[in-house]
Amino acid sequence: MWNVRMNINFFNSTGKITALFVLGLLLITSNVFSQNNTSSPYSYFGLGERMQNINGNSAAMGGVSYGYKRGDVLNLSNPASLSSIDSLKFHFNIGTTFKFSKLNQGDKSDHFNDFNLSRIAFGFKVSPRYGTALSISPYSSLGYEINKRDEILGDSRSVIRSLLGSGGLNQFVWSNGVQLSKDLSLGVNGIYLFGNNTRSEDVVIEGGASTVYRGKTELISKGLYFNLALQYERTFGDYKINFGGMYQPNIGVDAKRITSVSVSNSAAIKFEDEDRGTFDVPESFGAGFGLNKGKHFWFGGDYTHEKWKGTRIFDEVTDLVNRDKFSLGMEYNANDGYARKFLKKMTYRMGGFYDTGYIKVGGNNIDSYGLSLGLGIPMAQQKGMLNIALEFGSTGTLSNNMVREDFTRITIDFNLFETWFVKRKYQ
Amino acid sequence: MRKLITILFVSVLGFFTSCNSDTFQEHEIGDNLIDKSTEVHLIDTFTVQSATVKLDSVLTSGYPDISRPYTNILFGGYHDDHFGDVTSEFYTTLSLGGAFEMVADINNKKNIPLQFDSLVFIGFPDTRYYGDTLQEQTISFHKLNKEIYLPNGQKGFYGHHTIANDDVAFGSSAFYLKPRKQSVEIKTIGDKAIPEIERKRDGLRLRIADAFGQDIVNRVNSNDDTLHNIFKWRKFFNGMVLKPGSGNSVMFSFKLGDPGMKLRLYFTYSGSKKGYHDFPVVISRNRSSESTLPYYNFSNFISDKTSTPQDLGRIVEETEELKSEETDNLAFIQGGIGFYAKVKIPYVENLNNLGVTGGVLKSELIFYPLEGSFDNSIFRLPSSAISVYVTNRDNNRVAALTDSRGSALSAVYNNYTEHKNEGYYSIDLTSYVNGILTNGQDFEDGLLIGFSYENIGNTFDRMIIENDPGSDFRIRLKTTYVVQN
Repeated sequence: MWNVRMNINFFNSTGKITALFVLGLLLITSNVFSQNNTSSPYSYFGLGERMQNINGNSAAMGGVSYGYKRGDVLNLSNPASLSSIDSLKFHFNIGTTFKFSKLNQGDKSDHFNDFNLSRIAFGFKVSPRYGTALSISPYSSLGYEINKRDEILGDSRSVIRSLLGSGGLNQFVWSNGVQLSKDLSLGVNGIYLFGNNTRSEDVVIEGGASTVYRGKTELISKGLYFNLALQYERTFGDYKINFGGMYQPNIGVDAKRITSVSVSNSAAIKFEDEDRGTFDVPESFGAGFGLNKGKHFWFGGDYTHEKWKGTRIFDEVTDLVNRDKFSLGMEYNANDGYARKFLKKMTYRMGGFYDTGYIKVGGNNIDSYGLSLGLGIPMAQQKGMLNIALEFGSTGTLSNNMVREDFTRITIDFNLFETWFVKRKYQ
Repeated sequence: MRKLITILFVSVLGFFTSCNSDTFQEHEIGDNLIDKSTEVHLIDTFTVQSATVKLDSVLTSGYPDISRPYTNILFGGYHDDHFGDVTSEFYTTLSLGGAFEMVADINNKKNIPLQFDSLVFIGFPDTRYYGDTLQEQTISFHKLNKEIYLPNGQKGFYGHHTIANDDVAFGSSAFYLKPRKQSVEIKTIGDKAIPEIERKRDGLRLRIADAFGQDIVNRVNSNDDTLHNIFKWRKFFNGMVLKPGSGNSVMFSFKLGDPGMKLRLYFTYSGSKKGYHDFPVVISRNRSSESTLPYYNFSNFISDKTSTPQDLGRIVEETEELKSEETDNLAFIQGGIGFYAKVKIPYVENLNNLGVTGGVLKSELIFYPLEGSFDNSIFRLPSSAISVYVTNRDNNRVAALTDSRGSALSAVYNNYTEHKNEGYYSIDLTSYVNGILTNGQDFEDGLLIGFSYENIGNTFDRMIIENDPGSDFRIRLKTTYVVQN
């Protein structure tokens, strides 16, 4: 079919990649490390804290991705870009994110460290015009634990209420990009959204009472949705401009919701209810551009709009708000192909973003902004690229006694290549 | 290189993972942001219905059967304005205490005759008492006309059991009860042991009429084998009943065992030499072989309630209940007689109608002893634990009330209030009420509050529970309930 001969390496690689993929699936989806991907109290709202589903390159550039296209990068935010990944290589991408955060409220503060595997992906070119990739990554995360003293109506004593959120939703994405013409590529992401958002509320009388009341709700997602994307590229002399767009319809994702109530001093579960239904992923669109100057310089910007307002979770209208996200970023590739000094071989990136967020608490939009810096470090023998991104940002506000989360997020992401498809001239 | 990458990757993963924040760190930040899905209410407005019920039969020889006999007995009587006259008579067999023979002479022949000196009842109170000790008490000793025997299949003797006995007492006496002082054995003075025959001051020692003792000594002197052979002795003396006088004002407890209760016969011989023989009361035990005899003892409780203000004599059958509405909004508990307060909380299931669902964090039954029905000297609040049983329409004790771990619960007296008379009892019903909310209950289901199965036949405590719906001191179920919205 293809006019190529596979390198014997293929079989080694497949085994290894499968192993890594399975490992990644385990790490992302299970509590192997009992980790939380977040510690923010804002993860209580909506579907949890939205995880950024971008690679290390984009993370270093404020999240810009719609107009980004490189042969050695799996840019899954815009699957149209997959049509132009390097054809002789098998791409493997694994990213980890480490978030140090400081939660501030009034004059109190608290520190958290959260680690998570942010994505595992691999992709390759199927035909000269068609590239495909499979990936798994977190979609949203819950990770709050809040204890508060609360009154008992009609009594002078108090109860201690512990609100706990854990788990999150993950996405398994099949990304496809097809080049329609010299300028235009189209892409589609087929997404299986799975996982478990668990929220519980424990109530106990303050001061040594032994009975614990526990209400628990699990949202178990097992559903599909998709989004569409395009990239349109024109060259003007030394300049190359690339427009990207993304559209996602509002889709009800199949899910199951289990609500249970138990009281610790009686063995029986007091109440259990299992519902089947859907929750909405919002209608969204995004647009962006990327501008190349020569081989070394790239500059781009993105805008995304997600219509969370009016979305439903099991027929209940959420009080979420529409989200707008703006990103700007740039990249300078110092490597001219002949560089011998290490610093000269690297790629330097920076950017920034502003995100209105999709939740509103007490009349306040919980927005975020941040600045990012990053490095791309090439590996020897063109085996891949190690991308490091540093983001400094802030979510929420201190006014109205809200919580502001100041964070530093480090993304470390490996882009690895295996040469798969080699046509040898001499046997 | 590939190996290097793998190592690097795994170590980065390991490093970051080990740095993750502890999941169970406590923090308060953000507590104002998050909505609660529940509300917690304290509800104490449930209707609590009460009644008095009476056990048909109360074992007074031991619980659950004769193999676990009580090691003390209740004796005496008192008059109680609320409960009427209460008396306890004590029935017992009397052991021969070994062959009783003449004294041996130089040739070791038992032919030195005895002269009767006196017959004395010896008993040791065990400090527990109920009623007024300042008045003089009387006691009389009556011979039983029939042997005491345990009918086949019966576990023991009940408080209503009687055995025909002589109207005329073979002995009687009057005394003042000093429950503490008389409970102590005095065996030494300083370092010096007092010979048993010299001991005259400890316990309750009552000299009784001579005739019975004289008869025994005559039989000894005539070598009558009634005093050699336990079977003949038992035929001759079936046992006795100790009866309090009608004017007695205190009920109290005698120890059985060591030091125990006995009749002691003092005698002299060979001129001025002194001796004695004991006829001990042996703790109940079944016959173990052909050559032994069974020993039994039990109390018979008599209560005349005809003149009580609430006419408590109305309750006859165990399955009846005398509603508190008919007894001035009171419920009665009494040991020995077998009164229990029955409490029903018929509408507690209505909690299930609040919110989507919910759960009980704590549920406590609170009740107050009737003001003025007890004092600190004569009619004290019960010293025995107050047990609680789950019961049904027929007032059967279905099971002891337990917590979620299966440990039995009892009423706890809370007396930390400023006002002395506002002490109250509380029973933890958390597990019970959660059970009702999950499994439902019958309208007639309830709780019996009173003295334990094990001890009701061996306690004289009593209490009156107030349950006037219009009073602050009514029986209340205080429930802290979480409503899931």
